Amino acid sequence: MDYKKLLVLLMVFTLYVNYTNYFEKDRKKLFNQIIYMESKIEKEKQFNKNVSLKQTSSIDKNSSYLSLFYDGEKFSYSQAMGEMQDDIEKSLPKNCKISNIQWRQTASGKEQWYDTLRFNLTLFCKTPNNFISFQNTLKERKKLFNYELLRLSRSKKSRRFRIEEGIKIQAQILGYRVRNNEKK
Amino acid sequence: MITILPMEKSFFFQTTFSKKIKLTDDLIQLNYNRYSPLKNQMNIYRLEEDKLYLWFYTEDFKTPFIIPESYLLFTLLKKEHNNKLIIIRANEIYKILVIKNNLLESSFTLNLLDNELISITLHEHLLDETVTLSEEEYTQLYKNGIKELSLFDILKWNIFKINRDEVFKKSLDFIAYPLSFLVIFMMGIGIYHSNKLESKFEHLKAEYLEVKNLNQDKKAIISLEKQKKEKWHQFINQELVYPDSGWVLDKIYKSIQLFNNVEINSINISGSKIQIQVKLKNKKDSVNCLNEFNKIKAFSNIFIKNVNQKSHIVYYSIDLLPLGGIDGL
Repeated sequence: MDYKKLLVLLMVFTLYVNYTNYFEKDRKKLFNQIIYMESKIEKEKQFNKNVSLKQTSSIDKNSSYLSLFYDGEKFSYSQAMGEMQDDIEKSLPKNCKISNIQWRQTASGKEQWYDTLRFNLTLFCKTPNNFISFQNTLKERKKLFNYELLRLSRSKKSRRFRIEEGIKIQAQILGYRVRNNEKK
Repeated sequence: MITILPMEKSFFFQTTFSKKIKLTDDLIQLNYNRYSPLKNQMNIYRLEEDKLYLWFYTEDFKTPFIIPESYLLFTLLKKEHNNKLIIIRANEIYKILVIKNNLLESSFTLNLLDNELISITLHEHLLDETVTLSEEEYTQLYKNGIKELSLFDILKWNIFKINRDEVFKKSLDFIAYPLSFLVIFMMGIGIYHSNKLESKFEHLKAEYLEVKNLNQDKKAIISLEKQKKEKWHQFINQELVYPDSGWVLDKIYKSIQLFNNVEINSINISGSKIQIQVKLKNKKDSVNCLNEFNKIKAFSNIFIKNVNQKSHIVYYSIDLLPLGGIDGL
């Protein structure tokens, strides 16, 4: 028997075992990765084909709900409160008078992306329609206002506002200020 | 590859066992060599159930398959000439076969035909029939016999003995280099294939990044939009749960205005609860008002809480449905 041949065979086997144990790449895994990558590329290509920049830019233009909020970059919390009070006062029709306006500070969580601007408002209007008109004018300001409490009652105590008989409205009115303006 | 062992160059011996046994070359040599008159002999045997056929010979044919001529002739003649002594004239000698009960009983050659020996042989085997075949018949029979030999028949007469250790060593010697080459070749193919796959993967990775970068702007816009939508929905779910109070107020006023003799004293909207206080001149209007309120989709659980008979004041209590639960609003 030729032991040289046997030695060569053993060395080759040792090499092969070490190769398979330590150096051989997992070809099946590589193959699967290639298939996965190809599918990802295909998806991206499809996305590129189906979604044009024009479409995405139109998405951006249409999403303007943040304009309903007081701008956090422009106004601090108290400035926004002042701005909202100004909006309320400017929206009052002739036959409505504010008798009391009270700021209510609301604590918002750190994670929350908006602040709530809250007012306790007492106003007198001659007719309910005057109040509805007030609301409509407020809406024209293009800011979002919301009532948490709204109480309407007949009032005979409004004489000091020169309204002989009218409606007393007590409301907790809310507005919103976005903390970080997302629009870039 | 195949040698037909001529009858004249071999010595035939047969024996019958009382039961089936297993034989090896060593056992045969030990037990039956002494029956042969030949020196420096080799043997070939065949065990058929309890019958042992044994041929001794001296010439080394150096072929792996040796078929005894007497056995070949026996297989060809046993059907036709059973229980007979067969005398075959061939190449100036006489080949004698004795077939009894489909078994080969005796086989030998004579240079000259000895009738006395023949009759002794017949007597020995309790036979009385003899058959003589001419040289032509023998030649034809021999040729046919050779032609009809199947591979299975040939393999039965294999004298090639395998030494396992030797075979293993020789095989190892034989395959060492080719196997080493094959293993290295396989490794090479594996490495080449892996490298190919790796480079393809890297190429695809680069292509993916390229395509991904192309879509990055669009994706960022879509993602931003999604975030905005999510925020908006979160905001609506948190802050704008119930319909706008202005809208509710408007609906209530429009319902009341249908009746001339009804005056609103107060409306109180707080979260999902609405309380309405109205003054009536006609008692029936309390139910009419209730029916009108029922037409408003956002209202539920509308009921009259109290009716002051003296002052004709009616108290309504209404639940406001959340925006998500109102159909068509």
